[in-house]
Amino acid sequence: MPKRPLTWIVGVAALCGCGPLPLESEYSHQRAICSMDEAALFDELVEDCRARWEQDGSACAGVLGFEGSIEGVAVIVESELVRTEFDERGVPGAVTGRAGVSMIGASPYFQFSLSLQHVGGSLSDDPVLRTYVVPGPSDVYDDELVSAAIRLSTGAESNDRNSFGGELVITRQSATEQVGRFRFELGGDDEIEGCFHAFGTDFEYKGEDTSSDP
Amino acid sequence: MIPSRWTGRALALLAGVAVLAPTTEVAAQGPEPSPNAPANPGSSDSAPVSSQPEEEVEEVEDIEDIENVDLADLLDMDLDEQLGTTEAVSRSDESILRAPATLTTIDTTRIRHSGATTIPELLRGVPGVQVVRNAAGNYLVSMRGTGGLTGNNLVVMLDGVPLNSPIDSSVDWDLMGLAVRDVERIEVVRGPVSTIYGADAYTGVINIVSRQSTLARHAASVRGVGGTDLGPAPVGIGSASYVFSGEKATVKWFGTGRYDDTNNVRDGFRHPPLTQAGMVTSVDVSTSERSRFHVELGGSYSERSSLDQLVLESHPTERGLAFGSIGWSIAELPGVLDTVDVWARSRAQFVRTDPDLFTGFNYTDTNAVRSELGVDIGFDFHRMVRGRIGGQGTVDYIEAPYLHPAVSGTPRAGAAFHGGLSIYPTKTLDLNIHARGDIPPVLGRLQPSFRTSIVYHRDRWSMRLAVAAAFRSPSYVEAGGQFRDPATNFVLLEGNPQLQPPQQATIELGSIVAPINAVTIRPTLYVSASSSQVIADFDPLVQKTYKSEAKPRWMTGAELEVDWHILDELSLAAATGYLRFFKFDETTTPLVGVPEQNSTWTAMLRLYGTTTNERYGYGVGGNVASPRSYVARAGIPPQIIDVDVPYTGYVDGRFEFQPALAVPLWLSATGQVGMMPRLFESPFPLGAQLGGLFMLGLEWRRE
Amino acid sequence: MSASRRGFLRAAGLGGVTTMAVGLAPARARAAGNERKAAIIARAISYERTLGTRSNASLRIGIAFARESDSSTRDSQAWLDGFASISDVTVNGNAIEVMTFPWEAGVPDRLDVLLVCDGLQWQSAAIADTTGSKRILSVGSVRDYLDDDCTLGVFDVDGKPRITINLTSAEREKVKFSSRLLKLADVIR
Repeated sequence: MPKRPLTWIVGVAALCGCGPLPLESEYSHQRAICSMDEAALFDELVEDCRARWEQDGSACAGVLGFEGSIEGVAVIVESELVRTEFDERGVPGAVTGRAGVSMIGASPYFQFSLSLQHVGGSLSDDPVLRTYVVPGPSDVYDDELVSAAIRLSTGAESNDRNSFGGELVITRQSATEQVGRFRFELGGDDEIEGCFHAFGTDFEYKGEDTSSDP
Repeated sequence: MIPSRWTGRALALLAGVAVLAPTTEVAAQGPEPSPNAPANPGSSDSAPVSSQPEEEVEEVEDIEDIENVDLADLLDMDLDEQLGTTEAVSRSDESILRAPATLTTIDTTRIRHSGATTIPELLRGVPGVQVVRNAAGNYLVSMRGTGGLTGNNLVVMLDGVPLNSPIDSSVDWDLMGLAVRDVERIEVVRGPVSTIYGADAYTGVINIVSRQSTLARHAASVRGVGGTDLGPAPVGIGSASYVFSGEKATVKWFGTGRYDDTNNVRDGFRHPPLTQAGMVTSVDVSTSERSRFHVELGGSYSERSSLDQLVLESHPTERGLAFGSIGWSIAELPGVLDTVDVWARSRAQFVRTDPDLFTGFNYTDTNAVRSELGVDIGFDFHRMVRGRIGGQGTVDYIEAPYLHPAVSGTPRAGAAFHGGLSIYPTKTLDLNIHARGDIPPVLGRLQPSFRTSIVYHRDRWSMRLAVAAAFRSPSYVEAGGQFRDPATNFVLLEGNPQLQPPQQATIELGSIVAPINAVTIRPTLYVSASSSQVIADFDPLVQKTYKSEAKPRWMTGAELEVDWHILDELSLAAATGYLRFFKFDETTTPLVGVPEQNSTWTAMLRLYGTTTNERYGYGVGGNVASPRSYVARAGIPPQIIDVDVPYTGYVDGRFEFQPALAVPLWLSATGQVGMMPRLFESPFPLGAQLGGLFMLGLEWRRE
Repeated sequence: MSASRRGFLRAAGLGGVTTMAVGLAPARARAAGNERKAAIIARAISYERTLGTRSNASLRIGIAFARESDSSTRDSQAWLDGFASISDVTVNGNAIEVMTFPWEAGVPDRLDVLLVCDGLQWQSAAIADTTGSKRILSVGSVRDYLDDDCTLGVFDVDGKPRITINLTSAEREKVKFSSRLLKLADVIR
């Protein structure tokens, strides 16, 4: 075979873009902000969000990250929360406690709403360390048990996943903030593990005493 | 008389079958001289017959009507000569009898006398080919067990120029650019042929050959056909052609336009009609005794339904295709070198639609160009050994909003190299081995393919054993897609660059037998393993992407074709295909290759012909395909498809008539009706029903 | 015996014989004599689309030769013998009527086909004028005739008979062959 065509062909082949498409999943651009290695990053993100939240209560609602497996797909999510709902419960004459927290954010693929119910506990500006267990479906909730669920949605599709195992650790629970780490078992081999620092944007109070509204 | 001629041919067939054996030679017997033969040369009256050479005339002794004699018999034509040659199997001219792959040729006569008005409808009669009509102008065509939700498993060429979309290798059958009646022949090569045609030709190749040089120096035609379906909804087709056949040059031009709203409804939903216009022109010049120069340009535009594996909404979508090729070939070179072909070709495609009409994925703002440059060199080492090597470079440029930004708008290059040897150890044995390495632009890494065959051939039959492996390159959508919901910006579909190319390996035993000149029988048996089929992993909400199937799928099939030229006025074509999967992973549902999505068997029967003076022409036939069912996720956002397609079939007929022999004007009537017109065959929700149509036409042709 | 019964037997016999004699023994190529060529010409003429408008009850074939040429005379005799061997054959229902005549004597009336024998090369222009003006299908006995002015010929190629058709001449003679014939022929434009 003449050399010139070979040279030409090899030249063209080498000119542009031979090799696999230089693509990575959008998940690969997400950072594992809840890992110990990225603690500083997480704090930086939280402080940035806090500054905006303090200026405009709806500009940022917190930071949440998780990684693990959902629907058999390895996921990693780094999300700035767009809205939170703090569900307060008060009994007349007693302190107001937090019954639940919903945190709404998005990944490149879906929107999520992470919902924690039966959290309980009083509100305080001081750090706390409360560990809850996510029960199985037949367990009765008590102070050590918390209910967790995540709702995933793309607009056209949605997927509700309840957690039937895992744990939640709350490290701060003030009137306007909720901070913690979690590991939720979502059935099958699906499991996510992550952390959050939520700033309250929406509050709901149930009880007779409304004076404790933040 | 006709019945006796039929039975005569039938007995001849039986006689031929009975004595079909290699090197059979039967001694000739001389006839008795005719007692009333004319006498004396020089007289203007009838003359008597002199003595007859013993060996020459016995085969015509019993002739009463000369039309009873097969002209090919009189001409001592062997099967090789009758079948002719093809370039479709190996991209070089070779005998059909000795070709190393299964080939079906739908010739001019069958095309002209078919009720089919599109090429996919013509392909329904080819065993091993599955045709599904989704809506007017929107078809899925597949081969040998790759029926399913996509139609990108074969290569479709017009005069040797591939027309598959550079984006996803799918075929826009509505963008052919020339009318069916301007097609000279359709060559359907079944089996893995990536070795010859590169990526995507992994289940076969369909080569559409435009009208060749005609009888008249200046041949031309203008035709118009119009009609309605059972609705009624209209269909109109107009086309024109001009072919100049000179001593040193051939110039061709074809133009066509079509409006088709027939059989475009289902359950009250009406798909957008097909509107199409296109043209093809080519110039072929002999630059010297041994060299030729060829240029071909074509383009087509259409608007039709968007229905597709990723688009389950049916809205008008505009598509355009422009292609060109240029080639220079030299033959009969001195020394070992035999032929040199240098060629370049390019095709560009666009898709436009109104995105506001869609709630999910659509192909709007797609622009794609694929350009190729190659050289093929043939060697004549020895009278028993021929060789062929070549290479090509490919550059793609794709721009589409549903591709990853790193892919869209960035040129991608590919390359391929091939080499092969044909060895003829005896006059009746051909050995072929061909290997090829492709680096497709999407895949970016070397993918080999090969074909090896042994063909034993005699005057009246041939037997072929071929083993081949081929592949399909993952498409740009499958490997580099990134479709974001315009409203939410969520990634609804993401390609997987790590996809393995789907591969097919086949071992095939085929034969061509002609017990008599008028009958050709072509049986084929094959066993295939397809691996790394692409799975549309659309279940997970958290990431919809494509995966490669881990386990291979095994299948076997049989195909049988019979062509019988019963009389000058009557030919019969019959074909049947059988397919059976016997090993596969039942837990996965790839895009193609799902047993339930392929008809287990298909059958076709067709009668056609013309009167001797060709003033009357007719064709009538039908085909049937066994049930299929589709249970899969498709569309973005995905829906669950759960469609059962029962037995489907079509019956069609065409009759044409030239009122006056002196006036080159033909009138025609064409009818086509689906078996149970309200049935449908599309896997997609609301895919159009089979229906039926009737058309009248007028054609002026000089050829 | 009814006509259809006779037709059946003849066709069956023909099919069998042609299959065995011709179909299965082509490996041994053999030059075709004028008998076979005559049959091929008759068969080719049956594909002439205007035949129905040309001939009446019979297909009149005139074999023209040069009176002064021995070879031409021999050629005409050979052709006559050839056509005699198929004298019972009809072409599209027309009986074949064959006659020979010296070109110098002029073309007989009502000819449908003019078979031009060897030795008439020098008359090619006149022959072309005649066949063109009278719409006679010209058949050449010599290959060179086909390059000039004759329309149809049967010649041996590699030991097998092959049909050659000159489409320009055919057009001049208002002859239209069906595409089926042209597929099996070597076509000259």
